Amino acid sequence: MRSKYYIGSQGWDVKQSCPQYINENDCFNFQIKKQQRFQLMKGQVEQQKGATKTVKKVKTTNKKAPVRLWVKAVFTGFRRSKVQQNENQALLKIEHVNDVASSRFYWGKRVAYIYKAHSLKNNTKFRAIWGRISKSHGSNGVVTARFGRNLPPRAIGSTLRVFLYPNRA
Amino acid sequence: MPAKKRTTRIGNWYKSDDEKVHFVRRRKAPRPSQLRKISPGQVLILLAGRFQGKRVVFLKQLKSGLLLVTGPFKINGVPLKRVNQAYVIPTSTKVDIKGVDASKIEDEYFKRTEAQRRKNEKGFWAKRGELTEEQQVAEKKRLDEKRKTQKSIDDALVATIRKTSLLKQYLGARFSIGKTTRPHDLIF
Repeated sequence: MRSKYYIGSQGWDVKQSCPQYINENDCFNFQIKKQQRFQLMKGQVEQQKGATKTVKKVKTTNKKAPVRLWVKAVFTGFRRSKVQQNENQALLKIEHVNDVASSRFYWGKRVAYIYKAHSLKNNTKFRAIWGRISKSHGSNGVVTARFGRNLPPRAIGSTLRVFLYPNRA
Repeated sequence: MPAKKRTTRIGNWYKSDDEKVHFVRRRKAPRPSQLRKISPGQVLILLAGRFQGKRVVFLKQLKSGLLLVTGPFKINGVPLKRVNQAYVIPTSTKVDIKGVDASKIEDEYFKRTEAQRRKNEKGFWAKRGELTEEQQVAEKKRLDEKRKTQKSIDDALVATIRKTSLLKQYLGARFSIGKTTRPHDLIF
């Protein structure tokens, strides 16, 4: 029982250290908060005892926990040579992606550069420039993205959001 | 006897070739997009929208190609829903959907009614958005029926889900990318 909740705790590379637990199923286990984990265990223990009174329903979802379904990527600059650059193609360094094989997963995925503006549009001050990852660049996992409108140069160094859709699997 | 008058004019010019018949490529029935590695009963992760990150049970593919999916509603708040394949990650977890009958639900179930379309009218058109008595009654009836359909499908599902340990909690939890999660390495 204990191993199910402690394996794969954050900050530890699951795939390398524990190959039999690279199942996404197991990644979920450590997302349950400590308190809820305890309640779960408590609930299950009570069931095992064969208690006649009904076990209190345990809420295991933390509804207010933020959920991130995008991967961080840094906009390192435009595709360029020493003295010339092509602003139509943006180079993105995706977090934890260090080789071409890994970067292949992200081909076609949608990317957004999100920034804040002063005025309200569509009831929000946040705006986005959408694009897609078009190809790999070099051998270290850097990736080229093309946007609906080219990224502004002030975005260089900022974090973009690489979403997991469209899923090509 | 007067000659029969021509009703149409003969122009000075007419085409020497036969009129080209425009070739219409018409399918007899629209073919839904191919299901990629997804089978009924599989748990999917929604990638976008209001329910992003939620794990959801796949029921069947509709004729439009979209996937029919349910939370179940009691477990994670996701109702019967249509999802595009590309906006979903299939996982290896499967739920037995033997007792679940989703055959009656098709794309028409999700069609927006007039009352729905006009519900959010504001300003000048606000009056148009107000429902008449008949429309209110019809709306209520429609929502009641929706709840019934949801319940009829979910009851069998939830019963099966309760049998597997932790599956209910699994479906209730949301998928999230953490600090060291590498989606390209994850095996779902």
